[in-house]
Amino acid sequence: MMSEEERINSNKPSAVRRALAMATSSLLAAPLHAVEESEPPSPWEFDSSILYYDEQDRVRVVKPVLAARKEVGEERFLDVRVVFDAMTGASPNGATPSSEPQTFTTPSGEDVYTVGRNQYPMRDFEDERVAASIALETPVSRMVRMVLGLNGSVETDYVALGGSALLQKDINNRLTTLSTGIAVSYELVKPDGNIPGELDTIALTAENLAQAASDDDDDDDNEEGGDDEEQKVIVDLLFGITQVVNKRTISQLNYTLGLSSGYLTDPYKIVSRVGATDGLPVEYLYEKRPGSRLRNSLYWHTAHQFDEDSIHFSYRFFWDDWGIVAHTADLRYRYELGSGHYLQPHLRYYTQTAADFYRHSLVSGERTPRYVSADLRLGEFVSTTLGLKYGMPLLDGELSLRIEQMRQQGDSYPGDAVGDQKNHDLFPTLEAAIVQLSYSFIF
Amino acid sequence: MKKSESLRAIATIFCVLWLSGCSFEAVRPWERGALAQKKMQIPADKLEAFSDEHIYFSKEAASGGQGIGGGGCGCN
Repeated sequence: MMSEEERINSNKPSAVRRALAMATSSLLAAPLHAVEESEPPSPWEFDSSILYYDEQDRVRVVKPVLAARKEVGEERFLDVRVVFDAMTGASPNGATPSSEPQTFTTPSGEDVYTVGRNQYPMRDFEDERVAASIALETPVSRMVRMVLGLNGSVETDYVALGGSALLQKDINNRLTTLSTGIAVSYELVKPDGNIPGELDTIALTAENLAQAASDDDDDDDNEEGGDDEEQKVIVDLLFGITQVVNKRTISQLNYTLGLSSGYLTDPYKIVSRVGATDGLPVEYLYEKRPGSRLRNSLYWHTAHQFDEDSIHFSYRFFWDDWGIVAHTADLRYRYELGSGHYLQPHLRYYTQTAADFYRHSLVSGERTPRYVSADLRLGEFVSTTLGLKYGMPLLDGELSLRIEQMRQQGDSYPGDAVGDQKNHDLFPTLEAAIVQLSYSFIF
Repeated sequence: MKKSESLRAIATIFCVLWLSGCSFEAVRPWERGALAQKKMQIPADKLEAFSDEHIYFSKEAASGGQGIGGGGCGCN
């Protein structure tokens, strides 16, 4: 048996072969060695933005967000996101406007506020919210990935903690991806003061108001109200399919089923009871919603790239057991200006029917329904959003600015309004400006 | 009744749209350059989608569909 050296020596011209072998091995070995030693750690991909949301005369929100993603192993990714919300302004309290001034109390009954004649009743508020989430995307097998996530948020009057698990399987030569997932969230409502008793009447007279204020702390265990906090649990299930349609088109179809149970009432919302003929306020009740809600949505999203430009279209059909049916269509067209600059118009159209228990108000003599809410967000309305985004490359990253206008319109003068109510807009149009400045970069 | 009719109509539309795409091309891995771009991901801008979801969650009765998880809010 010849050794390697003898075998090489036995061939002519040996010097040339040896020189070539050495050169080749050093050429091959050097870069490999270099790669092993100096392989840089994978970078962090950052997405940052600051969003400004402003409703005329109502809510203002400033929302900075920072999200980061990093490959922490072979095809294993870590996603972290931190959000801060600073919210100020006023929110409709559910009462209908009146030609007379109206006085209300906060849920605890401690504070009293008055709304002038002909003004839409709103409650001032100020809050801050901090939210964080972390997710790990990891391969389970060659074709299956799993994403495990945890999230939490804290506000003065609200806490949410949740976890999620999502499985994705590629099939059909990776042209099709099947997804299934579950998310569970535990949420705590703890309004300033105590939770008001659902359907309880708000104290209106001066004596009652004084009584409400003095009773506040001693009355914790009577009737329905008086608890410091209430809770709810939300479970969402997702079944989805993503399909490569052709070289330039991808499509996704999701079905999600969600069940919320527990305290789903908004402790800050009330309902007016007005005179059956004059329409003037007689009393106010705290709203009450059912203790469970089953939500369904079918969501379809398709993205297509033309020669340069691209388009995203999505449509969602939503229905729940509260009687709400909603349609949402969303269109974004990215118009490439060249050298990485682009303009992206955005159009969104949304419409929903009212919840079965939505009433703008109750009338005297009418039996109080089992559930009732005058929250405009549970009423019937149409919302449109029109926006424009401009994006450009900046220092190895991308900078973008989007400006949008949202407009929400409902039935301002419903046919069942009575007396004085007919003189007032019972669903004032909501207009909001959305401005978001974003910067994505790799570090 | 109204809802079930509406649901049936929507289900039909989805089926037609989905089946009409049944002429899916057998796109090879090296032919997926266009689809691999960030702007062709669903969603193309995760932060924008996240922000929008929070805005509309707090202003409308319908929510979700795009994904799961993310956390709740009091949403005045």
